[in-house]
Amino acid sequence: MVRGLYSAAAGVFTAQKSLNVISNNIANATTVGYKSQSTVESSFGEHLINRISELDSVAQNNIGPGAFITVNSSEYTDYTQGSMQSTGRSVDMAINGEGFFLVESETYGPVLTRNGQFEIDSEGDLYLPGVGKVLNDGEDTINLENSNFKVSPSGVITIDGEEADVLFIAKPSEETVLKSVGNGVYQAEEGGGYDQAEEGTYMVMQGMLEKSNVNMAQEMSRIIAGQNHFNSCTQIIKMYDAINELTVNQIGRIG
Amino acid sequence: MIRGFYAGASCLISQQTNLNTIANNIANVGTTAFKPQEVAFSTLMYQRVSGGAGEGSYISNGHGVKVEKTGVDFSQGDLQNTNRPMDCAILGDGFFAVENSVDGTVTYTRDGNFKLSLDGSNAYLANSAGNYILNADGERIEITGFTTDADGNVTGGFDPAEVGVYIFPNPYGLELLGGNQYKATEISGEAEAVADPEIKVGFLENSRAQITLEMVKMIEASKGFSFGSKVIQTADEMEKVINSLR
Repeated sequence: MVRGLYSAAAGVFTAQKSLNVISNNIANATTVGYKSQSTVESSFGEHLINRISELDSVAQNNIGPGAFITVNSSEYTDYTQGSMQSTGRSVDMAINGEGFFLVESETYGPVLTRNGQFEIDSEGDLYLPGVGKVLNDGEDTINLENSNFKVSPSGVITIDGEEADVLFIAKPSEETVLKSVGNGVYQAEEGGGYDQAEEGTYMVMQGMLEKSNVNMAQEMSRIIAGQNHFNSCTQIIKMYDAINELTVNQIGRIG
Repeated sequence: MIRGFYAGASCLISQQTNLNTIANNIANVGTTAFKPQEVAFSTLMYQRVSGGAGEGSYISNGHGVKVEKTGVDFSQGDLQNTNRPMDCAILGDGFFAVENSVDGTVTYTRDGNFKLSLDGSNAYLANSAGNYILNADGERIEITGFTTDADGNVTGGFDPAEVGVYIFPNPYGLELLGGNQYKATEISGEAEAVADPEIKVGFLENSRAQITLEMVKMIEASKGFSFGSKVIQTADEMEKVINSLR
């Protein structure tokens, strides 16, 4: 009975954590370059129960698994392309296809992002506000004299027809798992990092921004399902509590 | 769900700021040479939370959204024919330079609604607030040999070629002041006079704010706001259920 209580409690924690992730998706439904996340729940076999007895013939090491609990075993980021929005600003960019912009963050080092809301800072470098400077194909900062530049679909920046720089469009390598760090950027830490993406797999679009790929209908139905799940688990906890109370205060009462 | 609650709250705050910006754009749909702003969002930091399945199972949990910056769209607005001989509109990039009549600071504008301002016995070209328009050398433009007709319009004496038009290396870094004025900053770079600007006389540049676009954005902001409030409601209900467990 007590084991059942822990199962229900685990259900409550799991529902809570997945609802936190769904809330973050909803909050970022209009953030440029945001990729929606979801958690994967799975059951987790708890320790096996032992039968203890003085008689060796009866005692056994384990008689089977105890209470199963459910946990959030991993998360999954959906990198589907978001839809495009035209802004008419020469410093706004979006990637159509695979690949990420490479930005040098002060706290996290080189990070990947799909957020192309760039500006030019006081030193004339192209930078992503709140994160850091955008890097070119030599992993160096991009210095532009003015904001009147053109970007070709392959990422070549030209000013007045002359080539000024080339954007680094990064593709994480096969074994890399991208990790979300602050401000909508990803770190390619384990498993090899990132390489320059192949030509033809991406298109850089100037004057456009990639919208968030959060699917509202899906997130709202997940919230409703999650909340119902949460309520059911708390109901089970209440039932166990009532049973315990009955056992202790009524059945087991002495005097 | 405490985290989820704050993510929902951050959504409400950010969408409110978004709505404020959209409302300002809509309010200025009739303002001469108005350039609309657009809000840019970015996510707040992520934190790793244990999933519960032992070593290696974690989920990274975001904390919501914030407004990172507002960007200005400097695209050319349509030209409107006013037939007033001192109205000017710039075709292409660039700004008029305006010298404040009180403290002498120079600001920049695309608003070409010019008038005469009398200082003693001299007449200078000025904007509707009475501040002087500068020529390509940074000096006030004196108007001589003009006549006024029956309606009070000024004819003659005004040479549009004298009006100075300035461009910036990075106009996105200009600071927005009120009264259709922009101020040069470190990020925008310094103003440079254009050699042969294209100015159309008798025209004014219309506001660049487009009603249909702003209405669509307003619906988006409103829906985003209501989804955020749904998240807060859900988190609240769950907390209530926990509180009523015993």
